[in-house]
This record gives sequence, structure tokens and C-alpha cells, in this order.
Amino acid sequence: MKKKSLLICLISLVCFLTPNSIFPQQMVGIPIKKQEAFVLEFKPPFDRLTVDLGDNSFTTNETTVFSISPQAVFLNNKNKPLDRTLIRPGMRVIISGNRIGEQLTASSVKVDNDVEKWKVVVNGYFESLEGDKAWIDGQSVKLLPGVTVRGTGDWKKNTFASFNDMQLGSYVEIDGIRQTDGITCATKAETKPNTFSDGDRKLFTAVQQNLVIPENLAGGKGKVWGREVKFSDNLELQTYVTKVGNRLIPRYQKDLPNDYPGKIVYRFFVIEDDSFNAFALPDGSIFIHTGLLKQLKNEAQLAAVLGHEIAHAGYEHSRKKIEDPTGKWLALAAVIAGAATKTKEGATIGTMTALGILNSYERAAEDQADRVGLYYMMQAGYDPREAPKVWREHSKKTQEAALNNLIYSNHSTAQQRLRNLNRVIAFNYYETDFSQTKNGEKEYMNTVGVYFGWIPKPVVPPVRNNTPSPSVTIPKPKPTPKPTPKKPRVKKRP
Amino acid sequence: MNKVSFSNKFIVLWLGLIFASFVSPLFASDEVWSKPNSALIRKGEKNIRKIPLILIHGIHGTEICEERIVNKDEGEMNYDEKKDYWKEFKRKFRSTENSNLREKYELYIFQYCSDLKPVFPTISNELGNLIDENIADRQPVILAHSMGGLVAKAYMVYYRHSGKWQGKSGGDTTLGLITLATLHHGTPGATDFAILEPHTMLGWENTVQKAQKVYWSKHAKGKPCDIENDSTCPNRSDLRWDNFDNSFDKKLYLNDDNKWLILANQRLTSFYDKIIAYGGFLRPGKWSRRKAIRESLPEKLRDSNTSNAELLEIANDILVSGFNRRFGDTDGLVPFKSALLCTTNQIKVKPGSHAFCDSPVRVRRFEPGTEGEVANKELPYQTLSITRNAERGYDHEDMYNCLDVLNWVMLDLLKSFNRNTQPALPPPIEISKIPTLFLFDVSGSMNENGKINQARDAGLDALREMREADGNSSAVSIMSFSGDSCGGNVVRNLLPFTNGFGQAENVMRSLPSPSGGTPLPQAKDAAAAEMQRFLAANANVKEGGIVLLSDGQSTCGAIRPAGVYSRRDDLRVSRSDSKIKFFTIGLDVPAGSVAERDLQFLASETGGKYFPANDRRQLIRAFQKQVRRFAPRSCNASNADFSGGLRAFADSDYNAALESFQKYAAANPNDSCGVYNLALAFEANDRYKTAAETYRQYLNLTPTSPDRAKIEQKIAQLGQDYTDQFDYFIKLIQSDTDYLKRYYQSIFNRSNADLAQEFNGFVIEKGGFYKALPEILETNERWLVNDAKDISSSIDTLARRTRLQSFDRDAVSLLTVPIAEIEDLLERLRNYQTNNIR
Repeated sequence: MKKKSLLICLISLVCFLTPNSIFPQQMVGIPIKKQEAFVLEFKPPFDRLTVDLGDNSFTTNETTVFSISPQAVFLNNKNKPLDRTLIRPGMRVIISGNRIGEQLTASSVKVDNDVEKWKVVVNGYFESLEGDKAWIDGQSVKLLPGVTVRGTGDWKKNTFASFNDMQLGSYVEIDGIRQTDGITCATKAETKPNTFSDGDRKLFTAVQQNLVIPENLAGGKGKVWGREVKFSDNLELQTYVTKVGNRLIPRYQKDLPNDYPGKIVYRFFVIEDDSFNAFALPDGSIFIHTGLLKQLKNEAQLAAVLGHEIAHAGYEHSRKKIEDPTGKWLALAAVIAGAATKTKEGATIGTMTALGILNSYERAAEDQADRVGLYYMMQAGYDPREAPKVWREHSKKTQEAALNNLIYSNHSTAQQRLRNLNRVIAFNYYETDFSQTKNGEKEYMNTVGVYFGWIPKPVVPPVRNNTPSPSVTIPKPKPTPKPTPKKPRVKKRP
Repeated sequence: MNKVSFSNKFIVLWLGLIFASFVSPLFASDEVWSKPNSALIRKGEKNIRKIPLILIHGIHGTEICEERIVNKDEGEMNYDEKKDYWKEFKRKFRSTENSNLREKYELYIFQYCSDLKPVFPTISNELGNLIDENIADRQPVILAHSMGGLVAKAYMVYYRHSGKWQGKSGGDTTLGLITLATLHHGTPGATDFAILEPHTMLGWENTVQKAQKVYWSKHAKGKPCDIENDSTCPNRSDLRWDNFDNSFDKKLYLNDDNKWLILANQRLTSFYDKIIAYGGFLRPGKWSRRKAIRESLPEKLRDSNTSNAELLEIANDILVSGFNRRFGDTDGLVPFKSALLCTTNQIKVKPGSHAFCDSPVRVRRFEPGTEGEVANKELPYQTLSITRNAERGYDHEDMYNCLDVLNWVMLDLLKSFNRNTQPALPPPIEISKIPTLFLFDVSGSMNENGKINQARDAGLDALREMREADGNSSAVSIMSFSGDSCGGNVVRNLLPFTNGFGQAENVMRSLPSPSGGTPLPQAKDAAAAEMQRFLAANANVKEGGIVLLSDGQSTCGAIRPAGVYSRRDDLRVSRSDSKIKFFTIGLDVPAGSVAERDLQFLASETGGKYFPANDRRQLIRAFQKQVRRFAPRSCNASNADFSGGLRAFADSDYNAALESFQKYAAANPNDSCGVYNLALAFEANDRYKTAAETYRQYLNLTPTSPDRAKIEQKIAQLGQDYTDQFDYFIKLIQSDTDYLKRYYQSIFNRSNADLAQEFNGFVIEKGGFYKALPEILETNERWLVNDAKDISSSIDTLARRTRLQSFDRDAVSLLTVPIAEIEDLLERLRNYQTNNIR
């Protein structure tokens, strides 16, 4: 009885979803054989399995739902029967079954990894500590009893009994077992200091001093890597982006003393440009186009974009990219450093190299930036589920061809990014209660919305006691549709 | 004489030595005093009614040192005036039209050796000793050319008098200083070539280096002088560029900025009002001439027919073109902005234009390009003074021997410096407590909203408070100020110092009716002078307090010097031993406004306090706090911490008192007497919340305390103070975001380097403020601690990463960081205020 009603329900669902015209021809199922998939969701009553099928499959949808046939078998990686409740998001499974129209049914689900001892690797910076739980690479990690953290590199002689003894911001490599609660228990752990080399310094100096913004910003016109750009002179917008970005910067980074050589000073720049783009320089300068802001819906989505770029800069992806085991890149940095000082040839080479630094990140680096960026979002109280929406919307609006602009062209495509974000959310935040997070739509509308004229400027009651100091002239505000607020009363001396 | 090689000739080029064959006879009435490296000559008979006018020459302005080297056995310096540096000046001074000047001044000439290393400590010390030994009866005026100005500056800021002026600095006793083309910020001509090189324009390296070598090799006869090791090489290190404007890349310049000069200039801020700086510049040569210089400099230099004037023109072209105008215009040796003691890097002077750099002192500018101003009418300072030579401009030598300049010097000497005439001291009054002077702003705006009545009530309350605390052992005086002009009688002494409080109350009840503007600096000076006289007449009291109430911005110039946002610590130390403290109160003055900053500056400079007030209640409270005397209990005076605390209270050193009683109470937590004094110390340091909590603790320790009701009342009062203060700080923090936002906007409007200087002062001060915010607000909430840390860190980042020339680029994004953080902080503070404070 129960099963029957479910079946009716399912069929009606299929009817609803499937265009009637193709329904009759598709009655015979097409077999699905050994399809690799990444589990996104599998909840009681365990009759629907939501997965991501990855790039090479019969569908381009970001998520795919299999219904579980009553006779379906669940196997572990040794082909032994498996209790289906042990399946967790983030696991890789191999599915067999069949497809009738859009209706997918799984008859066999084999988990590809060791379910009892789900081995995972976590590499990244030690960002924060809650009790004995450390956050590394956007994931939470605990040390198994008896496991200590071995120092490598400059810390070769050190051993750390717990995360508590370690320095935030140091680089950590973990081999561990992932538990059902999503926490990784480390079986082996190594750490080394986050060093800042002379080459890094040269690169920083080169980027900061020579290649970013002109000394005189009158009119907001500048050049970034030889491209003419217009920096937004809209204080509200610029401050808003900085504000959101600033909340995402990890605490340990903020707490580094200002004269610490490796401290990244994050700077956020809004560029007036209609293309959908954002990018980060290795020195922590992060640029976001108004064209991207235009497509976002709320503050959490902005945080998703910025968090991703902060992670790129913080994880030194561009530095690693040009790092060369032979130390060749030191010379490269020197060339960049020389670029703006004297020779013209130097400038050209410098610019080209610099574009190389920006252009492409490895897929692994992109994935890591997604993981870490989502973690930053969570830390700042934003709803991480907003992150994939940025890409969902974008890929709906434009086909991939349209993505061929300067920076995002070599990123993972919008689809890839979307899938990856889905996976990270499933993997790291499956059991997270999102009710305490916010999406900040109102705040977004009040600044970005006002900027684009989507909504009129909200009326702010005039605050007394804000008499402007006469030493600085106040420029005319940008003409935006707004009701004029009352002027504060200015005391006049006789 | 003209046997000297081209190298000697080039000295003229670089530092303006003049060659004079004329030897003036030493008159019988002249008197000479010598020191090992210098000499002071008085011209003519001594006349104590006249002001001593001391002339100090530029580098190598005397030959005495060379003679001394030859005649080592003589032991003492010979006086000679072979070079007669001041020939033109003396001619002018002695001319018939200047008889009134001769009536006013007595002429002295100071001569010194220029090549000591370091030169200024020795010479300024000798100058000071010569003054102390021979003319310490009258305050002198100094007229100095070029390096002589640095001698005078070193004397003013570093020398401490002995004898009659024991303990005072040279600047305190100097009536005035006129500097002619003095390298106040040094000159790049004296900077090591290795430092200059990266900043030199392509193709000019050779020229610059050669010119330098030629000059600095005087003693080596044409060969490069090993400045490090050869003690006979001329001094240059003391004269090098101080990079005040970052015209050199800071990183490349590293530790070569001129530390002594930077420090001297910092200290000089106390004496800005005594200084008149003269500067001039040459119009750079045509492109073809500059090209020729670049290509054939050595020939030009070797040619002994080349005149000094031409050599200075060449030097000017080297400095201007060789560094792409990095140092602006020059007179051949000294950049214009250095001569004028500019505080910002941007010197916007174009020939004939009146645009001008920001200098804290009075200046006279001599530029090419404007026609025919004559030095016979009074021109205000800071505007263009005169042009004799419309085409060429003025070179380094013109600045002390051409008549255009000297005419103005005569005029300034005649009008600007006057001997202080001290009025008679008031009769002494038998008092032992600190005297108080009330200084009321009675400008027109005090009529609004009955502010003058509020002031009266608060004043009366303060008088009652004082009488209760001190009885007749304290003295009080009342003054008021207002006026439409900035001089003359804008300050009224309503009540000379008295210990008759009844009389004081009567005067307080009838304050003058308000009208006119707010001549704050004049009022401040008059009140300080009045207090000074009173202290001079009453040897048993050592310090005095001036309670100053004002409700708006000064109409006669600011008190806070331009470009100074806050004083660095080292400067505060030298000033806070001030005997006269200003306790300032701003009535209805917007938080963070220029007017408020003036009042805060005055208080912090003198070791007093500032309180804001927005209504009658707050005003009364502000007066109470300003005149409040703290009476700690002396129950356990045998304990070292306890007695130390009592002593600190007696000295009004409340910080030290707090420290002592904190130590004592930590060791004796149950001693109610110690806890009471601790609470009092918190109160004295304006930590209201903690004070209230500590009083509460005291009441818990002594539940039957007879003064319970009084203390309960005090706790309530402190709670109110805390609420008011919290409110004020929110406004102040709000004004900081407004300030930062205005800065941000102006980046896009125009080049901002002239504001960058003040801005840097702002960030330095505010960095400290935000760091201390949890302590100031007496709240250790985690968010506040983090926010405070973040804001002070991002402000610090701004200060570190913004350089004057590239302010726009550096600040455009970094500025938004503190703005964003402060906005977040304000939101949290307001929530906290709503939930926890009101």
C-alpha cells in the first residue's frame, strides 16, 4: 500500500516533469552501467539519492536524482553488502541502473572508498581553533589520541602535542579518517611555518608599486596590467565591498602584526566594467567588476566571490604557480620589479609575466579556493548555499562562450565551479544548521541596488553633530535618484 | 686670491661663498670674544637699551678657520673680517634712511668654522656660551644666511642656557630669527651621490656626480675627498637633504635622511611664531642651455671667467633638470621649499603666480616673473614679496646681498620684533593651593539658547566647589574674550587674582553680554601671561590652571598648528612640564570639529584636560571636573605604595596615583580605605565606570559607612558621566568616518598631496585612539577588543603604506578599510549602547 502510493506519487512527478510528447516513446529503459557519481544528499527514508555526475556523463545538469529501486543493492568497495545509512555526502559511488526518459533508477550503488575507514587528505593553512578542533582547508580536523604533529621545514626539530600548541596560519598536511559527523581524525599530521621568501617580497613590491594604480587617481582612470580601467569613485559601493571582504579575512591574518613580512594587506577595488569578472593579485589586491556586482542578488553572494579571491591570495596560488624549483622565478620577479623603473623592454616583459600570474589557476587551486572561500563565508555568518547560485544564475544567462573574458576564461567554467561548490557544501556542511546564517539581501539592495538604480536611495535621518570640518572640500555626490535628506544644521559664528 | 683653482671656485657655486678683497678695519669701540671654533664681535659701543642683532654667515663665510689651522700655536681664534660677508647689509644698515633701525638694534657678528664634523652641536654650543657670557641681559634677534640659519636653529632648539637664563632653551630667549635662503630641510647638493644616483634623470648622472666631486674636494685640490676618513674634508653630512617630503623613495633613502635636522625641525614648532624665512629661486635655463650643461659641464667649471651668478644658474639647472624637478625650484643651492620651511612636498610656485606651499612660519618669497614691486610698502607675509629681476629670479647670493632682499629685511627688523615690556607684578596673595583663572568665551553665539547663563551657573558652581575644597588658600581670577578684530582689546580682565570668593561670585553673576567673534589665540596668550605674572609674584605656588570655556571655532586663526594633528611623545614631554595648564571645555562644539581639536590640543599640550558639554547639566559637570580637588584618605600612610599614591595625588599626577593604589589594593583587597582611594584614582583618571564599580566595592566592604548616601550619589553621578561619555565617543567616532570619507572623495577630485601631510598626522593619532578604545570605553567585550585592534591596525597600515607623492594610489582602497570597520563598529556600539547603557 505504501509502496504503491509512493509509486503513484513518483509517476505523477515524472508526468509533471516530462513533456507529454516524448513520454510514450521512452517506455523502454536505457541501461546505466557503472556511472561514477559524487554523493550530494542521501537522507531517510533513503529512497532518493542526489548526486553530481561530473563532467563526462549523459547529462549536463548540476545535480541528478536517482530513485532507489526496492531491490537495489548497496555494496562497499570490497563488494560486500553495505548498510545504506552509512552513505555520506562527499563519497564517490558507482551506480548502475536504468533511465526511462528523465526518470533514473539505481539498482546497484557501490561505494568506491573504504566506508569504515574513509581515508582523506587535508592540506592547507591552520585557520582557527575551536576547542580541540582545528579548521584547515575549510574542513574540521581533530587529532586522534596519541597522534602528534610533526614539524617539517624550519620546524624540523619540533613536535606539537596538540593544535593548541601550534601557530595559527602555519601550513598543515593531514592524513586522516573522515568520521560520520564530518570531522576528520588525523592519523598523521605534519606542519611547517608559512614562510615569506625574498622572492615573495620582490613580487609583492613589484605588484604594489609598479603595476596597479596610477599615482594620481583624478577621474579614477588607471591601468591594471596594461589594461585601462576605471576605478569606481563611488564611496558607498567601494566601502561596502571592502566591508564585506574585510569580514571574510581570517582572524589569524588580521592578528598578524603589521610589520610581519608575510602579512597580506587585502585591498578591494571596484572597477567600472560591465563584464562578469573578479580577480586577485598575489599581494592581496582584489578587483571586482561592476558587471559582476550587477548579477549578484545579495551580500552572501558577494561574500562568495570575495571569499574565493581572498582564498586565492591567502593560499598563494599565484605565487605557487610561478614558483620554480630551480629558483628561476626570482629572476622573473626581478624583471617585474625593474619594469616600471627604467627600461621599456622590462615593462613589456613584466606586463606579460604579470598577466601569466593572473590568468590561470590549477583546477586543484580553484577547488581549494572554493572550499576555503565557503569556510570564510560561514565564519562571517553568511549562508554558503548562496555561493553556487552565483554560478547557476550566470551559466543560465550566458553560455560558456560568453565567459571568455580576461580572468575567468581560464578558471573552471561556470558549470565546473557550480558543481564543485555543490560538492563542497554537501561534503563540509551537510549537517550544518543554516538558520543562523544570513544572505544580506537588504544590505545589498541598499548599496549595490541603489548604485544600479534598482531601488531609490533610502532616507537616512540626519544626524546632528556632523558639521563638516572646513579643511576638506566635499565633492558633489554622484547623481543617483534619491530624495534629498535634510541638511544637518550648521552652526554659524557671528 | 685668484690663485685658487676651479675647485675652489666651485665652492661658490654650491654654497654661496663670496669673494671680497675689502678688509674692513676693526673699530676701537668694537669688542671681540673668541671660542675655539667661533667668535662673536660687537660693532660699536654697548648700549643696553638696544636689541642685540646677531648676523650669522653661511658656509665658509669666514677665513678664520683656515688661519687657525696654519697658526695652531695661537690656541685661540683670530678675529678677522677679511671676507666681510655682511658688507652690503652693513652699508644698508648704516645708511641715513635707516637711523631708526640703528636706534633699535645693536649689531653683532658671529663667525664660525664650517667644516667640523659634526658641526652644529659644537658651534651652537659656542654661540650659546658667547651669548650667555656677553649679552644675556637682552633677548637677541638673529639674522642668518644659508647654513647660518641652521646654526641659529640648532642654538634655539638644542642649547640650554646657564647663568641668567638658566634652564631656558635658546629659542625661549630669542626674540626673532630671520633666515635668508637657509636650507631648513637641507639640500640634495650635500647628499651622498650614491644616494642621489637612483633618483637622477637619465643622462644627468655624470653631471651631478662631477659637480659634487668638484665641490666636495676643496681640500683635496681637485681630487675626490675621502669624506669618511679624511678629517680635513669639508662637512657635508649635516647639510644633507632630510627628505621631509619623501622626494626620495623612502626605501632607497633608508637611513640617510638627516636625523638631526628632522628632530631640530620637530622641536622648532615651538618657535614658529618667531621665525621669518626668506627664500628665492632662479628661473631654470632654456632647454638648449641645460643640454649644453649636461654635455660640457667640466669646461664651464674650469673657466675662471665664469661668474658666480652664472655658476649658480648652472647649479640650478643641474638640480632642476638632473632630478626632474623632484626638489622644485632652487636658488642654485637650496630648494625653494627648503628655504621656506615648507611642510608639504607640493610647492605650487610657478613664476608670477601666487600659489604657494604650506609653511608654518612667516615667509618672504623672491621669484622671477612679477614686475616692479618695490620694498616701500608693507606687504603681508606669505604673499609674493618683490621682483627685481623678472627674467632671472634670485640666486643664493642675492638672498643676502641684493638690495631688494635687504630692503625687506630692514622693514621686518623695524616692524616685527619688539622687546617685551613687562607690566608690573600684581601684589602677592597668601595662598597655598593652585590658583585658577576662568576664561570665558563671550562671543555672539553665546547668546544662543541661553548658553551664557549656563556658563554663569556652571562658573558659580565651580567657585562653590573650589571654596569648599580650598577655602581662602586658593586664588581665582576671571577673564572674558570676544571681538571683531584679532588684536587690541579683545580680552578683558574682569577680576584680578583674589582669594575673595564672594567678590568672584559677584563678577561671575555679571559676565559681559556676548557679541563679536572668538579671538581664541589672543585670549589664550593673555590669560597665560596673566597667570605667569601671578605665579611670578607668588613664589610659593608653582603652577596654575586656566579653565577655558568656548563654544565655537576661533575667528583669529587656529591654535593647533597646521599639519599637526597630535604631538609625538617626545615633544609632549618637553611641554607637559608646563606650569600653566589649560583645562578646556567645549560647549556645544561638534565632536571632532576643528574647534574641538583646538581645545583638545591646548589641553593636551599643557597637561590639562578637555571635556565636551552639550547642555546645562553637562556644562556644570564639566566645570566641576575641571576644578575638582581630590582628597584621598590617609589611613595607611606607612605603606610605600599607599604613601606614593598620596604623594601622586598631591602632585595632581593621577596616573601615578592610580598605579600606586592599584598595586596597594591588589595586595590589600579588603582594606576599605585603599579601595576608596583606588576608586578616587579611577575617578580622577575619568574612568567612570570602573570608578563606580570600585566605590560600590568600597560600600560592600563598609556597609555601615557614614558617607554611604554621599557615595551612592557619586556612583549615580559617575554612571551619568559614563553614559554621556559613551554618547560623546560615538559622535567622535562618527566624525572620524566622515573625515575619512571626505578624504576618499577628494582623492578623485584632485591631487591630494597637500592634504596627505595632515592626513598622516590624523592616522598616527587615531591609530593610538582606537587601540586604546576598550580601555577608554571601559568595556572588554570581545567584539570591541577585536574591532579596536583591527581599526588601529588598518589605520597603521594606511600610515605605513601611503606616501605623500603617491597618496592617491596607496590610499584609494586602504582608506575604505577603516571606514568599513568603523561603520561596523558604530553599529555594534549603538546596539551596545541601547542594550547596556541607557
